[in-house]
Amino acid sequence: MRCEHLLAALVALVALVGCQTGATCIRHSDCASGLVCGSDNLCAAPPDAAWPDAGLDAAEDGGGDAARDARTDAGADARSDAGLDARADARGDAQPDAAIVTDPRDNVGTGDGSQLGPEPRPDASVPHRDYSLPEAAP
Amino acid sequence: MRLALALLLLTLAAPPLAAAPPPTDPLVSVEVRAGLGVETGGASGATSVRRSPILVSARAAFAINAEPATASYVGVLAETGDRASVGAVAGMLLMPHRPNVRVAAGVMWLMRPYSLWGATASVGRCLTPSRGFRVCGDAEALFLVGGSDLPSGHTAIEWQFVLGVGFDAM
Repeated sequence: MRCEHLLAALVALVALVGCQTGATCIRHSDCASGLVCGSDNLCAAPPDAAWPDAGLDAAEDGGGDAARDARTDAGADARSDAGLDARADARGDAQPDAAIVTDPRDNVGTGDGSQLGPEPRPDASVPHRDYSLPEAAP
Repeated sequence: MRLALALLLLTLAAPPLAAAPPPTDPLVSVEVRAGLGVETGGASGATSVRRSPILVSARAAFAINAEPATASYVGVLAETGDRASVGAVAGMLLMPHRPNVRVAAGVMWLMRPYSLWGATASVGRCLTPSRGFRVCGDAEALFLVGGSDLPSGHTAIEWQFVLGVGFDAM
């Protein structure tokens, strides 16, 4: 094969696969930032665990791996925090609402269109004492 | 390197010849190269083909033997285009039919921000528009076998056409 033919074949091959840059990958750096190349040659979100070889390579290229791991950890933490916050908010919203007992008699009309707030209820935990005078014996 | 320096001293100490000497191989030459091609690889049973990143390198070659013309080279390497990484290359260069045809074999190591290493092999041809200056084209294969940029169990091969511009430094 002459050099011109080899060059033409290379150019054609590059043009053929030039558009194939989507989700397929061979190396991690083929994927967008934050994604890794999976065993099926597709870019995917990294698992929560660190890369299998991160420990081996940490000593020699800790910068790159550390940055990727930091992004991964940050993402996982953010997702975890968001989930916890959402659940906490849901509990916080549900409990006070459930504790409030609404009674239409609590709203007392004042005659001028406005309404007073609910009357304070007697506290059941405080024992009721009767301060009325005893009746005289016959 | 020591041999190159010794050859240089011998050349300087030699008496001048009456007739013009035939062109000789340079002791030190420098070349800037850029390559683009395709990348194949993956795990067993699943192979993908995609465009390779652009590889840019600058390397210096030191003559170590006159016949056959042989040189060793070292240089820096960078991946660019859709990514950025830097590393180093080293290897041997054989010119069996100088100055036109050359064969090279070596190793490459990308270091930052991720690691990737492997072996390289190339065959190419050079044109010399003027003395001490040449333009070369090489078909090069990079066999990538390890590093943090390769998923576990993956290997990759990059097939590239490399265009180089070189000149004799000594």
